[in-house]
Amino acid sequence: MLHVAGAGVAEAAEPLVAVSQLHRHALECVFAFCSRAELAVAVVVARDWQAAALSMASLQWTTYVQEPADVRRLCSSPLRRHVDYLSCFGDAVAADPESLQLLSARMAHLNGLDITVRLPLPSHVTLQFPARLRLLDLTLHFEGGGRGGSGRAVQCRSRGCH
Amino acid sequence: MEDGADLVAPFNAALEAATDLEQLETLYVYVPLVESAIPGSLTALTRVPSLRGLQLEDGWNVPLLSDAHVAELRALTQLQTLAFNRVDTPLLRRLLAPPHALQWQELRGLGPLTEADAALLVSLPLHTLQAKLAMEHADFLLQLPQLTALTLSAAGDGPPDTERILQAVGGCAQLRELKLLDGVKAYHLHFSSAQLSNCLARLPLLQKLQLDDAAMLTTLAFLTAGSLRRTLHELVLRDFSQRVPLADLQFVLQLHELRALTLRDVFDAPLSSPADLPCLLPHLTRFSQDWTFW
Repeated sequence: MLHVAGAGVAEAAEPLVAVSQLHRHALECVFAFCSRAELAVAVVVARDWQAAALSMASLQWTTYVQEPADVRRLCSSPLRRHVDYLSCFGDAVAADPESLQLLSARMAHLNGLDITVRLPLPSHVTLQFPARLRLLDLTLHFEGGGRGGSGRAVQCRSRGCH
Repeated sequence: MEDGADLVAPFNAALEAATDLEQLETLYVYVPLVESAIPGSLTALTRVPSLRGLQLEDGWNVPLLSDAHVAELRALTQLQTLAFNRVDTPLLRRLLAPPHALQWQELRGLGPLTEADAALLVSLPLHTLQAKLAMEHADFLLQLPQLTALTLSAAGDGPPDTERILQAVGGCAQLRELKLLDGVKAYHLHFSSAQLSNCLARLPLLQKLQLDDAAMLTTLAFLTAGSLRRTLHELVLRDFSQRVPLADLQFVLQLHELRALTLRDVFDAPLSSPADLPCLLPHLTRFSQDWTFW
């Protein structure tokens, strides 16, 4: 009897699981149309909303950061998995090797990265990039500057051609 | 400033870190060259079979590459794009000296290009070329049938045969993007409206057209040539030394697929109401009467 009752519970649970999956799927579909700001609000509304935002397919955002604080904020965000391409502009991130270490550790899913690295790095820092990068737009900046400054010539960037 | 020798180890370590990325498909490296030279070795890049792009920059200086660096670059046979801001012809000859197994599809900043240099280019499967011509013609383009983007200007010591050059350009039937930079210096591409019409009529896929410093254009009627009215998405006309009548705006307005438009110093009178242009061109999302990039 116990076995039969157990089976009954399992049968009763199946529709609930299906409804739950449907609910999750519906949320994911709706969230796919959300802006970043809207999704940031959605994840704090309810636990299942947050779960949907974290399980849905990546929204493949392109994000720009300028300061090491931006990097730290991004790396601690639950929505960081939706960032597909990250562009770090300005010298502040370049001057902070810990930012790149943080990106490598917390943003391993990144598909593309545009970053300036100031060389030589401090002796305690090992240069490492996020592991799954397919596109790396790397500007090397030598301490003190070489001839022509950092070598970055914005007008000639040709990433868009590819 | 660091001494060049002090930069070798960090530079090599940076490339090593980049080449450890197993899924890397495209790597752009911007290097502030030291006395125009690469401060280290490019050998690490040979380990990345999916490496597609490499850009070495030194402002607008021509890089001074040692024989060792030229050999390293020639060993990167997986590269599709090798971009410099400027490549002079001696460097080009060293890079493309036969025999080679290079597969570059994109070369920018070339020139002034002589016939001997052009003969080297046809050994590459180029689809994007930006060059200054230092010769009468551009017949080598006929041996680059896969070309989809072309930027040409003239920089020779004698007058170019514009008719012949435009005939060669018109032979590149796969072109999606064409920029003709006429120039106001002694020898430049003085193309006429009729010559341009004949050329453009042979480019059925053209989506982007840029004409700078046109000196002999008297009308924009060439915009109705061939299938431009159906294919052209972006049009940039700038700095015409001989202005065309404002009435020729009608030819621009026939480009029904236009998404982006830049007009600067083209007409003999100001546009009466530029704000109306987006209404007249249903797909237009960018309109500029000033500087623009594409």
